[in-house]
Amino acid sequence: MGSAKEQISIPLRRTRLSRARVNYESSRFAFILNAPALIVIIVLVGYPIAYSAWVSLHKYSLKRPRVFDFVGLTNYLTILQSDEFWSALWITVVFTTLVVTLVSAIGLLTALLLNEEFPGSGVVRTLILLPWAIPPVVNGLMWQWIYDSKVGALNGLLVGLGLINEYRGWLSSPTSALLALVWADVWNMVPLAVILLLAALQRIPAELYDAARVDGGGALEHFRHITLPWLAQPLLIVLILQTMSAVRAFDIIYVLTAGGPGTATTTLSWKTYLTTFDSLDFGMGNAYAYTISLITFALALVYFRVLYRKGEFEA
Amino acid sequence: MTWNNGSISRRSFLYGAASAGIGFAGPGLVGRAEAQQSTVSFAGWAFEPQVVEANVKRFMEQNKDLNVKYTPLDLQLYNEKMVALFNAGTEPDCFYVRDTNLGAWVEAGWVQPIDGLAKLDELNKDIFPFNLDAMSYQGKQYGTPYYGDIYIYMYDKKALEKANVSKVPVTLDELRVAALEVKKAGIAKHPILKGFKTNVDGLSEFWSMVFASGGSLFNQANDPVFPNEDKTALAVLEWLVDAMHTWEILDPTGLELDETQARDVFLSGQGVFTSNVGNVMPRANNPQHSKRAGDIRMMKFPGLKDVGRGPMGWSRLYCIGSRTKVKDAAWRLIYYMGGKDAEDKYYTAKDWYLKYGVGYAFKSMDKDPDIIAAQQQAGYDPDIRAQQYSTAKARENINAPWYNDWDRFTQAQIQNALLRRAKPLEALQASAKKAQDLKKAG
Amino acid sequence: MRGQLANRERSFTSTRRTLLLMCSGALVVLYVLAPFCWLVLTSFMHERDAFTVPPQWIPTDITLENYIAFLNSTGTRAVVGSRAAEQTLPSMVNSLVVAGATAMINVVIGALAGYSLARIRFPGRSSLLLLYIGSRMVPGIALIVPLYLTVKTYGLLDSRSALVSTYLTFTLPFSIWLMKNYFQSIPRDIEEAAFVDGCTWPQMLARILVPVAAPGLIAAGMFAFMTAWSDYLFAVILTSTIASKTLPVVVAGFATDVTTERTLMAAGGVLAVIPPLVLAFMFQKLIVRGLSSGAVTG
Repeated sequence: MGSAKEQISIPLRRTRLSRARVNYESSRFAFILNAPALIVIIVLVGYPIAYSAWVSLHKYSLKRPRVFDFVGLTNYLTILQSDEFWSALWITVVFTTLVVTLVSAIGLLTALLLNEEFPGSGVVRTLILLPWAIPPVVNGLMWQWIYDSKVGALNGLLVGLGLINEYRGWLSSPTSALLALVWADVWNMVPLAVILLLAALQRIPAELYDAARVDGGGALEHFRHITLPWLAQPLLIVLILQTMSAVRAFDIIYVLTAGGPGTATTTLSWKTYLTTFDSLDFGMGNAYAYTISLITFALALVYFRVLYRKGEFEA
Repeated sequence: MTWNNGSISRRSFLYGAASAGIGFAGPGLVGRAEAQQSTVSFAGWAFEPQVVEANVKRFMEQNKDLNVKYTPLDLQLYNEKMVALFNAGTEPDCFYVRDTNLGAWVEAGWVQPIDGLAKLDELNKDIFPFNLDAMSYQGKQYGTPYYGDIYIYMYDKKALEKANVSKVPVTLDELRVAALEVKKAGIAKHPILKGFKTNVDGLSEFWSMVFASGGSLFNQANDPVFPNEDKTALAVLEWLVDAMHTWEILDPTGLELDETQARDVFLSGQGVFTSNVGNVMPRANNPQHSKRAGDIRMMKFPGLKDVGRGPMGWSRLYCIGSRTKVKDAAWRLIYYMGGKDAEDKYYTAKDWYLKYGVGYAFKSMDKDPDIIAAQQQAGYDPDIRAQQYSTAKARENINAPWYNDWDRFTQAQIQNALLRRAKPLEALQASAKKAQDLKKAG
Repeated sequence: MRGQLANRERSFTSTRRTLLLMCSGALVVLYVLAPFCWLVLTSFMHERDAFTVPPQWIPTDITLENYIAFLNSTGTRAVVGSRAAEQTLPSMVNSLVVAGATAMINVVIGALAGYSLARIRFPGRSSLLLLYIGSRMVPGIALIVPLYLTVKTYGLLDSRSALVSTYLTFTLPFSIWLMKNYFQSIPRDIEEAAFVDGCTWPQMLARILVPVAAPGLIAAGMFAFMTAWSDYLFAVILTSTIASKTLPVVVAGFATDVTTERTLMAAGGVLAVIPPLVLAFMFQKLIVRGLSSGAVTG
């Protein structure tokens, strides 16, 4: 056609937004686009992150505020050598695995369901967001009443249905407390997984299924070869988000179990809280926090490696 | 809107600094009444803040030259909020402090001692010993009492009568027998109710049982004397474990209840014996809050043997920040709130007690007719009450900066013992070792 | 949604399939609603009826007094939780403002950054994404105290702006990541086509890309809104008065030491859910609308 605006080659330095074409190679343009986000993040959490990382390399307790000795990685070594860390790590691993698995599974099944049209699907699609709308602290309080060993709804329901004989404690034994915690957190988190997966499912072009139908194969085949690969990316997002959220779960532990009974629900996050605010040991507390960060980061890298390459449509 | 907030606090700070600059601060200066108002910022956790506001207002009426800005802070995260405030230098001039935090906060340099300030010595003469102990750290006093109370043991009189238990138990062994009788009579499956979920008061019953038995947990140098030197602690823990698993008189669901939940459960009619903070007693006999009003009585805190010793007691205090610019004004405020008003009466303390049963720290208030009447209505036996309060002891290592850490850790150990994940001896050894480690780390 | 061919086919399928779907839908609704129902029921009861054994599944004595207390609390209810009752509605306004601002700014800033990561090849592209996500790796507990100091230095203590800024730092990384993915899954031909037709880049963005990426944008906005709406830890530390207190702070405040008015707390909890739910209802249709008919076939 030959309009002047159809130029294919553009000098690399022209990056004004009012240009007719966007330059897909320009770093300046990319930088401008990222500037607002970067500014917000650096201005607000730049100092806190740098400061807390710096403090983690020092011996610094608010109880002895004049002492601020650089000790390098000593705090980290102390943590790695303490039983309390390994116990908390184990509980965190168990908690996170259970939460992430359940959220992903229930989320996926629900998203697949909501992707279909059926009478009432609109209603379900709205209601599914309800658990997520409840602030975790309110969620904790609500589940505390439900699990209550003396007047709780769960007990009332099970006794009413004849499934158990008398009211029992759900938070008074270590395993039961952890499972109860997991379930309460899962309930709160499922909607996020659902909307992420649903939004992705909605984007699957119909032709892919039509083409597959022509080639034959049942629903399960379609799922494995079309749906799952397409979902690899969103699933990655869900996994990372849920892992990070589960590793850092605080509000709900604070309300439901306070880390107990014993140390049954003392996760790394809880331990960080205790060390920083109860013991006022900022050096150690920050070291704990960064240990969590490193673990989460490592996990994220693992997820990336496994899932990143599958499902890239536009590199 | 945002700059509004920023500039308001700057303005009141400038006010305070300016008035201090004008020379308002000291007493006896000529023309003090004409000087600008001095502003004192005051904060505490949000327990019935409307009562605090009313009292603050009364203080301002009696002290026209002072203006108090009171901010109630979140109850649950009070500690965390104060840490953030201290770190940023925006802490209030005076504020509440829990005795469990006092040592740590003094070491951190956040509070200043009040020894020698006007009229303090006289005030101290009337304060219960356990309270006074808890307000001091390394020989210096840091605050006036917000309140002080002891841990008490209660029982349901009607239930005991129904089970034909004639004598109220005094020792742990007698308690066991009485509980078994109650259980046999079918009145309660687990007669003893206690909340063991980790919380601020979680170790109080344990402390009280040890004290009531005449034992100790720490010596003067804050070294642990348990489990071997002083075997009281071990015996008490073993009793608790047996109570839960051997005799089955201690409710196992207590592991998921904290103080407040245990209180509400008891008041709703479950359990026959329980221990809790002092202000639960009047509440238990108040028909507005309790389904068994009128039936609850206080008993001597049970120990291994009857040696006439009381339980543990604690204190919450008003402290003055170390960086305050209006020290004298702050002192006047906390003298009023934690002591006497312009008419030389313990107004605030009496107000708290009559309204909410919040324990008072002054011995002479025991003789106040209004208070006696209230206590009668609450169902106290005056002799038992007097004995328990006068023989109560402050926790031995309460002012160690590491108290909080050790307390929480020990609660978890005790829970482990009750869950039978650890033997009582192991649990206590772990706790003792933790205390030693913490002490060494300084 | 899945194309017309699928729809036609579905009408041939037995009603058994529809029934199965509806049953599954009912199961989901049960899963979602059951715990919440308990909260709702409690909010309509008197405190004395609220926690009985056995529970009153169908309250015999329904009352609106808990909700009315938010408009006009009298007597002892007024003072529960340091005036939590009268602060509930104002704090809800704060929450709406803060969460709404966070969501909207997120969508704008996040879309720009996400677009750059999706489309533009520049050095440091993957490191930038890692930086964004990395900033979220540090647990909030470690950041609280220095963050308070930072906020104070900017003079923003006890302000909604501080909350919005803080929540932006939480939510931007994932908004950006989400947007990047959605933009990547949109064929570049759409943009090329727009340029051929003579659009400028902003025009292309507004008229072509945004409608197509709407589900992703909505999802990112919802995520940001919810995160900002539910935060408790940072809100408690950074706010002190009703000028900026958000709903979770006030509702948690109901649980004071002595006076446990759980029915009031339940009512507060119910209120805490309504605005997000309303928004969800409004936007779920947009997510459903999905692809515009021309974009894919072109």
